[in-house]
Amino acid sequence: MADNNPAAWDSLRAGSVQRYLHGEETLRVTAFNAASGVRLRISGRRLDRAGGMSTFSDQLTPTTNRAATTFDKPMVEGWLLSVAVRIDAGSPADGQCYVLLELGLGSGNQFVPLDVLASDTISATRRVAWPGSALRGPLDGAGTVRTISGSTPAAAAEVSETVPTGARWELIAFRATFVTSAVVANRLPRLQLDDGLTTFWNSPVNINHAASITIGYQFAAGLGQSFSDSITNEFQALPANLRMLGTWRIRTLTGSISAGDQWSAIVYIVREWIEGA
Amino acid sequence: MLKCNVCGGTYEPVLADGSQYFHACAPLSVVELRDALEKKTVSLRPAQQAQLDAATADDQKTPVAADQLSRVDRVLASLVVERPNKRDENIAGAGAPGQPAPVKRETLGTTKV
Ligand SMILES: [Zn+2]
Repeated sequence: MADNNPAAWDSLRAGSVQRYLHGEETLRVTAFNAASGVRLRISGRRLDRAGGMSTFSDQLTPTTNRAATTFDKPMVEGWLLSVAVRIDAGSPADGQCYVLLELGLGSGNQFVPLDVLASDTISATRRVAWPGSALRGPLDGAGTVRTISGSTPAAAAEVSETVPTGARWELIAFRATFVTSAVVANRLPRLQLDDGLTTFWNSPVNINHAASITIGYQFAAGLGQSFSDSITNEFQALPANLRMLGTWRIRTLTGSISAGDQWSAIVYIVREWIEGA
Repeated sequence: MLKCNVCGGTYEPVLADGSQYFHACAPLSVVELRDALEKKTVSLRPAQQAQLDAATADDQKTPVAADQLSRVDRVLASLVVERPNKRDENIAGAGAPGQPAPVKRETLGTTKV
């Protein structure tokens, strides 16, 4: 077949998975990233109709706010043999940077996607390549575990932490310190989870928190029963494996909170995936 | 460290791992809500106001023991009332190509502390 059909011969010579491009196409790389200092390297190989091999190598520095950052590479006529994306700088963990490789027409706002070549999360040890990488969604990986220091509210105000736009969180544990003023009253702190509008989890602590006392409240997924060391720590349960979307919140609600009461030292652990925005 | 000019919360805009932190103001606490209602800087929805009025009347008619939460406080604790100028630093989508992503609600901004 190849001997009397030059096009088929060319195709065989170039390999079995190459894409023939007319030269009007664009290779688009889209990155969604939350890690600092990340720079991506996009490289690949091409074969022109005369049999000449060429390579390309470009950089993309994605933003750190999980919004889409794109890079458009004009293609030339010939066969696209391979494309690979690797980490050029920075060290995103699994779930912090997601890459999508597409072929289409036009660029910028006029880009019309035609083919998806590869899509996956990328880290210092995991490349995304075509051919080779499976098409995977941003939530398919193991995610990364992060410790986050939250906002310290003003006196008599409550804690509220919001899942960032483009992120998905599994809340593993949450800790905050609550100091009561000398005003005599039994405070009843609770941790609430809401979807931005509707509260769906309400976990009141199992003690009365009196005046002039400091207690560290600790909530963790997997605890079956609340308990206390009766001095400075109170432990409460969180729902297990709860995946929280962007705009969902982790809040305190403190019964009988007084003007001089203070929440502080807000720290929590989440498993994070990137959904992108 | 930044201080939110709306809620007074303080936070680091960049966390120890180098990632961005997006502050969003908490809803009003019971103390803040009671104060805001007195100063009329917030208003409740009619159904919420009716609930509060009924609790106020009940507290006056049959006061609860000193060590118990008043009915009014129970109603206030059940309400999730956002601050009128609530800030939310989260992005509202990716925005136009080449442009910074738009922030949801910047309102009164922050002060370095
Ligand atoms: Zn605020």
